[in-house]
Amino acid sequence: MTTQSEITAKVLNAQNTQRYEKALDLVRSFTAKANTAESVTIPITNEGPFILEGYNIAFTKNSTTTPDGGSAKAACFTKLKFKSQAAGNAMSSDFVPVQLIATPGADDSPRYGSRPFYYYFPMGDALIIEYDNRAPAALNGETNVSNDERIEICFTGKVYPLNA
Amino acid sequence: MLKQTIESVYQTLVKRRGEPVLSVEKQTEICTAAKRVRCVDYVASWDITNGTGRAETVVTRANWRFILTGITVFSQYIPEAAGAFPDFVFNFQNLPFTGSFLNVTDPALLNTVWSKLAIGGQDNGVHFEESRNVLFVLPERAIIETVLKPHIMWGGSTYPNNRGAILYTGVEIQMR
Repeated sequence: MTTQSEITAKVLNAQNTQRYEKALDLVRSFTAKANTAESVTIPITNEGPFILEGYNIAFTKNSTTTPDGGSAKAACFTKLKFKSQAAGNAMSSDFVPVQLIATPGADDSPRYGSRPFYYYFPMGDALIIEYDNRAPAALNGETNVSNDERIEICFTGKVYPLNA
Repeated sequence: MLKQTIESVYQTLVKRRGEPVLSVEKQTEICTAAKRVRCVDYVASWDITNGTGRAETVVTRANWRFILTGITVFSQYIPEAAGAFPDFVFNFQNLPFTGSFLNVTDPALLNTVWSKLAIGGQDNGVHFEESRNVLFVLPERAIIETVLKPHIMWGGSTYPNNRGAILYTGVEIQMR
């Protein structure tokens, strides 16, 4: 390629006629309402199939657990379950405590890393996030109070555009 | 500068002579394989109540072979906050061969491996990416049974109640 116009023409041709992988982040922030179990939906792009490769989750600890005779401690009781609307079944057999799959890190310190998770979504599918933020029953005489929690999730993967 | 940038982008999309790096056939192959091989989490809740440990049994999906690659344990209370933390024995049943244990007669004291995972009763609870790596191939409808043995921590004499979840994570492959 010697001229800019030749280069531009070739790049446009590659874009219009050839397949390529395109990185895509699907981001959703939502409030898991106190003592509630609901779901939120992320539409998948209509460009082509989407292959999820991993995700990052950040969450707040606005709920509390107060030991019998003690002082209240910050807690998060939110559990999550992800599913493909097209597949019908979920990526887990049951709700998962968010602490088990969230982005690692200590309280009030930078979070790092992500969780690898591969899953296929056909074109036009939707990713459904189900949450359960109900406080568990007392176990050792403590008082568990559920409050609204802010959940932020970034699903990262690749789209394979059809007829790109 | 612009010419170099565009040229590098073009070279990413094509091989020499302008052939696509990702052909239609290759893209189809990738997407077809992705439908048949995917990650999955099996979740089992556990609890220790009045000194007796109990855990849910998990059954792998029909028509999918499960390759277990990691186990992570979540506990509501940490031992230092007066929660009993059990020893675990993982038993696999309904296999085409005699059932086997992941850890046998002397189950590992897992709280020395996992960090503090409590959601309450602790001032500085942290969560680390501490999934114990394992490799075990299970057929469809295999049963993952977890046996709990409550463990008294720090020389105590009682079993404070505790509960949590176990995450069996891995890859499942469609069999038919």
